[in-house]
Amino acid sequence: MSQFNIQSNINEQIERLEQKYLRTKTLFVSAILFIIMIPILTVLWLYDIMWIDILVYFLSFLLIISINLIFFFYKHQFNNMQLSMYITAVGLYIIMFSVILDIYTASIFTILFLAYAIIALYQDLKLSIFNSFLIFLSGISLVLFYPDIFDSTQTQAITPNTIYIMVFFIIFIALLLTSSIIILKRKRYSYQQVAEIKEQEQKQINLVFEMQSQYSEKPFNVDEYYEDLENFSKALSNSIGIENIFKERLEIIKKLNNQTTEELMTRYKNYSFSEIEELKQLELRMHNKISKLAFKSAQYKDVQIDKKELLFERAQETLNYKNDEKQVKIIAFTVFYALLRLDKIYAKGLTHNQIMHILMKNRFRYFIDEEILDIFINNQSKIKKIVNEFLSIGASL
Amino acid sequence: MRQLIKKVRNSEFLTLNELLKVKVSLVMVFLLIFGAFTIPVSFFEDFALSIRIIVPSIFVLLFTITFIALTINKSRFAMHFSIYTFIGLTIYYVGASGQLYGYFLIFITLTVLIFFQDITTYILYGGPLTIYGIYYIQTNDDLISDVSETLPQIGPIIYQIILATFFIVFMINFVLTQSIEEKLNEDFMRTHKSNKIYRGYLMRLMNDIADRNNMTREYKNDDFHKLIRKLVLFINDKLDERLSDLDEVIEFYFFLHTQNTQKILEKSNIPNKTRDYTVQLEKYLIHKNSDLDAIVISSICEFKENPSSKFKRYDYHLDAMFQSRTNRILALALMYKFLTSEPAGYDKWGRLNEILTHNDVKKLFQSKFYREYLSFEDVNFFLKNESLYKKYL
Repeated sequence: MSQFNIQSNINEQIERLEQKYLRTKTLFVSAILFIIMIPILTVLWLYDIMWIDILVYFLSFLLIISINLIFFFYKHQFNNMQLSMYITAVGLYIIMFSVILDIYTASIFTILFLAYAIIALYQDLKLSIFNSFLIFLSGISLVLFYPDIFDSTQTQAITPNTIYIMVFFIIFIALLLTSSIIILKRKRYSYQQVAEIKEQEQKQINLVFEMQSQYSEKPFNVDEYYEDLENFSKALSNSIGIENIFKERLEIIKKLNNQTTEELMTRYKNYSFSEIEELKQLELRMHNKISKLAFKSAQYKDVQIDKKELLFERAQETLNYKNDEKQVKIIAFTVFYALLRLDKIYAKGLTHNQIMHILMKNRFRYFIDEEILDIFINNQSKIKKIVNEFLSIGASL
Repeated sequence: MRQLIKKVRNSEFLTLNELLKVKVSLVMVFLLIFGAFTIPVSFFEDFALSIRIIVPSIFVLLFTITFIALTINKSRFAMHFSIYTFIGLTIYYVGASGQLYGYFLIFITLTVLIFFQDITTYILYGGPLTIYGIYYIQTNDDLISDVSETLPQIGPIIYQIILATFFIVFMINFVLTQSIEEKLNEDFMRTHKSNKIYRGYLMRLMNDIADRNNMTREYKNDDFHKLIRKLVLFINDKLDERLSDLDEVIEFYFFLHTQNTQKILEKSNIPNKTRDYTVQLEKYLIHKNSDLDAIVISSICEFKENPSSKFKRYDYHLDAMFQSRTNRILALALMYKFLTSEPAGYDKWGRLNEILTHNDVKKLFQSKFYREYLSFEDVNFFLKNESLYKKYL
């Protein structure tokens, strides 16, 4: 699997995590919309707004809430949560803007802040920018085109009062937008870290398996596993008193290491694409996921988390501890670079370009002292030469 | 300012303390713009002369305290003072002017509190501020209401409800963010711990393989020492301020590989410098499951193949992995077979060589932590057909 494919898996995992939490937020937004709908309709009624208009507002609220709930409950048919977010944002601002124009008082103007707060619940970076744009557009339009909302004696748009309101409005938006950008960038990074560490986990288990097979006198015998599984499934079928429903699946599993899903679908017509993909998780020679699962699960005692640990910042290994002396940071970095270049028992050494690829990743820039990294980047050809000389004399390790 | 923008752009990589510093700096920028704009304008308002003097003076004082706290790295202290400045301005404008913008300022101050993203600070300052806003409108509804209000008694209530709801919605936002962050943190930390365990096995296996094949480890290899010395001295030459004791530190670094660092640190009579370097270098020892090992292995793994299927790649609960009950039965059987046949833990000699017995696996499946992988239904199925598992797998 290429570097590109692995990155696409990580990106997919990030998307999955985002979608998962977005679903929870959708439910919260729906509940809040329902709750605020009641006082808004009541205020409209108190202000003697025509009942037909109130009905339109009511139906508009119901429509937005329903869209959110449909996307929440029917995740397979409606899997694009982004769509429901944007519909809600636009819909809500249209409702709020109309409510302001209907009631036409300064007090109801602040309902725009509420709309902003509700849409901010989705915690999505692009939507936050869109939310800021919508509140800015609505607010400035009201200040410029309907200045008498704020002061009935004013007919001019630009007065000290409206200037104050505009400045406050801009500060309000700028602060919340910056806040959202910081939070959401960190959240995205958080998703990325979780996705990457999970990919790392699989690769590190693979490494342990590879090393174990190098060291062990008894290698992992896939044929024995399949044979035992066949005998077990026969005995189980007999014991339950049913025909052997496992046989065909076992046949497919065995073929999965050298045949594609499409090829197997042609042969086994009763199986859909996702059914065969599901069976891949049981294949041992190539995919070997079930062994990874079993191995991972056996470590469960040592990976329990104390709730207190969650309050602290994530522990991340780094070569740039704040309190370390510069000498220590230089040694750590050079050993890191040299070790990566050398062949190891578990892997071939990386090329200089591969290491550069890693170092150029944004996060790595924070794991290494900035001055040291700059020196390394600016003098890479000389550093490369020093290490190449060392490797060429065949210094044995 | 450019530096500040750069830090905001890369805010995800900052530590919490560094991030707080950036946030306080930004709030100070806003505060400065806001103060510079509103305080001179307020001179034209109908305020008493004493207020016109006291307010700017207090503003300048609080701003200076915040600035000093920030420069001496007391970010949290600076955060509180920037909040006090905003709250002071809010109360001044709300109380002194009684205008609509005074009320808007409550929202601005709440957004400053939201900006800091600290639920305790939000409740501690935002709660009383919201209550103050509601109380102020209750007692001064004539000041804030527009004469054009067709229903003057409703206007203040609308202000109050919107302010309270705004506060509550953002509190929900905080709780939601925190609970998501906690779940992600738990997931991350569990996997992080697991990875450290795997690396431990890897280190042990590497050492065993190296011993068996009479291989010299890097930290014992003179050529490797020379290479590191050459690289370190090369980088030192390029530094703005050259360091003097590098040779000794390099020597000490390789020396530490042959020592038990804990024992060194337990000694009471070692010089402070030795203690400091031991603590600092310990994290970078080779093949000791150190931070350095973790970064090296994860970097190597970036270029390793992972043939696992894309399908439900990171799901590890049988319910999540399989829709088909038949497949779940096969998966459970394979898990059992693996656990009773392959080493999955340290034996009493510290090697990756412990193979579980049937009873160990039974206990493992029944433990409550194992619900992360198996459902009750799976465990019941296993218990019901226990003898078949034992006999055939």
